Amino acid sequence: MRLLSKLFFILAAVALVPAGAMADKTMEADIVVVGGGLSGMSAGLTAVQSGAKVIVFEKLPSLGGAGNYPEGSLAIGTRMQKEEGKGNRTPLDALDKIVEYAHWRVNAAAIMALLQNSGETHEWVRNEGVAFKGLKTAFPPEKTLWTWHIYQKNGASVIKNFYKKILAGGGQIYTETPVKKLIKNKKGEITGVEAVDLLTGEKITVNAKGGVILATGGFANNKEMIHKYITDVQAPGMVDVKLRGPLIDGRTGDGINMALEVGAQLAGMQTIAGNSPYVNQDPPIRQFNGADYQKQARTSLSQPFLWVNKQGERFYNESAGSNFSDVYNAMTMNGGIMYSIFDDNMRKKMIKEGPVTPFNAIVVPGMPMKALDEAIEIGQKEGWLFKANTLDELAKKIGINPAALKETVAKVNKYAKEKHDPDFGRKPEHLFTFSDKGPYYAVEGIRAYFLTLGGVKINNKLQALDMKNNVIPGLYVTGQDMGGLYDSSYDLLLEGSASGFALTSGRMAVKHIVDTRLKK
Amino acid sequence: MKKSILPLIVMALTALFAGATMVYAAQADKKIVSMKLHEKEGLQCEDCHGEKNPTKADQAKIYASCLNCHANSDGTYRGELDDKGNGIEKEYSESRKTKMAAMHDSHVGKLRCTLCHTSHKAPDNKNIYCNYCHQFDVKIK
Ligand SMILES: Cc1cc2nc3c(=O)[nH]c(=O)nc-3n(C[C@H](O)[C@H](O)[C@H](O)COP(=O)(O)OP(=O)(O)OC[C@H]3O[C@@H](n4cnc5c(N)ncnc54)[C@H](O)[C@@H]3O)c2cc1C
Repeated sequence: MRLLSKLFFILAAVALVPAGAMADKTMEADIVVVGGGLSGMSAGLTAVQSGAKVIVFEKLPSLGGAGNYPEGSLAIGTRMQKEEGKGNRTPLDALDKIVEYAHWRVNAAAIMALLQNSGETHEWVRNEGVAFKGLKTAFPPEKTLWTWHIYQKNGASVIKNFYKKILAGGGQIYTETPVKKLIKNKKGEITGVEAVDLLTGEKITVNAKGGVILATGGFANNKEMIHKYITDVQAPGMVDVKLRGPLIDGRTGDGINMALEVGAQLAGMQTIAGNSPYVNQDPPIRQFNGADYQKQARTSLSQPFLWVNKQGERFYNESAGSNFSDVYNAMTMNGGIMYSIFDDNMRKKMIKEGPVTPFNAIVVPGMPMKALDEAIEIGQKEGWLFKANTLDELAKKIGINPAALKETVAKVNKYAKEKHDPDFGRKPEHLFTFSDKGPYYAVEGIRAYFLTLGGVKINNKLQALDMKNNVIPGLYVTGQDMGGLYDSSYDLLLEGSASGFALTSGRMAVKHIVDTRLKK
Repeated sequence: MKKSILPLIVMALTALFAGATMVYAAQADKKIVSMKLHEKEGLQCEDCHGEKNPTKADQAKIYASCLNCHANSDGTYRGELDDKGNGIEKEYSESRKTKMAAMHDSHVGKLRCTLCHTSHKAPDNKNIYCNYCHQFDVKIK
């Protein structure tokens, strides 16, 4: 599959050659948006509604990018929060949490600007007719910030609503037309872009009076860049991390690399939004949106029965198995691999009663896991799930010292009896006793990620900065191309921050261009 | 460059990906193997290609030709629409579940028809564009 998408790009590139030198085309615009994903659509519609002439370029045949997936987006100070009686959190409350989580190693001013504009952005999205289910949180009431505004039909509904209005309002959207280069004038200002129509080979130059907005979604699907920048991935002996993204994925770092070419500075490049554990089956995205057996295999992996590392030892509080960001980090500290162990009673419990802890909103407690046996069968065939009659045999199958595994199981049984886990603080109601009779099961878990979090260094107006921290006039950065908003990890407490910041940044960048550069 | 193997590589790659740019050998041996109704209705090369003797598939022209016959009132083809102009949802099977979707009123924009619907080669049902994310159990007509 991945090969196919690669072929698609190679083909597109090769096809240009026989097409020969096509006549070049030059166009004029107020604003050029590079990338037709979530921030690109937000920028495009804001531009159209501000009366600016906008051209959006998207390199794939389809719009939306990763932005089709989000379940919900962050916003603070919304009608919905008031309506649900959850409206007492302020941008300052959120900022406090963020800088504490990141030890102030983030661009707090830019984050604050995004937080302060998130409420207005959400109201706009809602007023445009995008349907919401309401607020949701994965955190207890005393901790949550109630930022996660859940869509009826995912981010896809925003893309669909917005692209139609951009076209209806006179905006232009070119698909299958990647932007290849930013144009910089002698004064160091960004004045336009060069793009290529993949179908005709035609080179398109656009002069953008107001500026260029980068919205290319980061570099999640650029393996080379991942290995170059992400420190987690480079560590010795680490099992590689896998992308949980669409099978055709245009997020290859184009915006960041084009910004580098015009002298921009990067920030926070070391960080990806990890999402773990995932079953070691390709492609991981199918555990998110595929067959029931895949979703349930993934769910069985994160249950609070027993997680061990390669040494056969526990390494995490299994009660917190749903915190995909923390799990990613804990696995990173343990070589990037884990095994989830359960016995036959636990298997039966999952099939009959459903999981103990949820996998997102996808498989939740009370939802019987009827496809688990199918997962066990397929998993054994494909080599990511193991079944054995004794713990000794199971340990051998997964390449773990049998004595170590047995010792860990004995320890957990003792904790279950005492209803207390002194090592990692697993909740008493999550302490289950392992039977002394087989069969036993082990699911192999690996680390996945779905976003990159670093990119072009920006100020709080989302303008790109150069190596001397001066503004590069005319160049704006949005969504996953923005760098410096995260330190080491994706802060889950800010629920929906990636997509919320994408929507808000697209809107903010356009408003700034309209209020300043287009006013002159 | 003229006699290089490059065009061959292009063709081989083309065969692997439905609907991408075509480089024709000879226009005469371009049979219609799919969307046979077009043949039955007596469509000629130029009805789709916009020229009598096409030497390559100009996708922009072809897309415009599709819309000559298949467009909704707004000049795009988005399938059957309701009074408000939204695609009418139908039942599909996805990952063994029933899912409501308006397949042609896609949330990812105005997809080029030929990404899925091809004339001169059999539809690639294994790699339907939607199914790079979805898993609809459908066949291309
Ligand atoms: C599976 C999944 C689930 C998610 N769930 C959530 C969630 O629940 N909550 C949340 O907040 N966030 C979620 N996200 C993250 C969210 O989707 C992103 O934060 C958001 O889409 C970022 O917006 P963007 O515009 O930066 O990038 P994207 O939406 O990915 O758009 C970038 C676009 O730019 C295009 N492009 C790239 N290079 C070029 C070029 N050279 N020229 C033209 N176009 C180009 C790409 O093809 C792509 O279409 C999820 C992401 C994934 C993958």
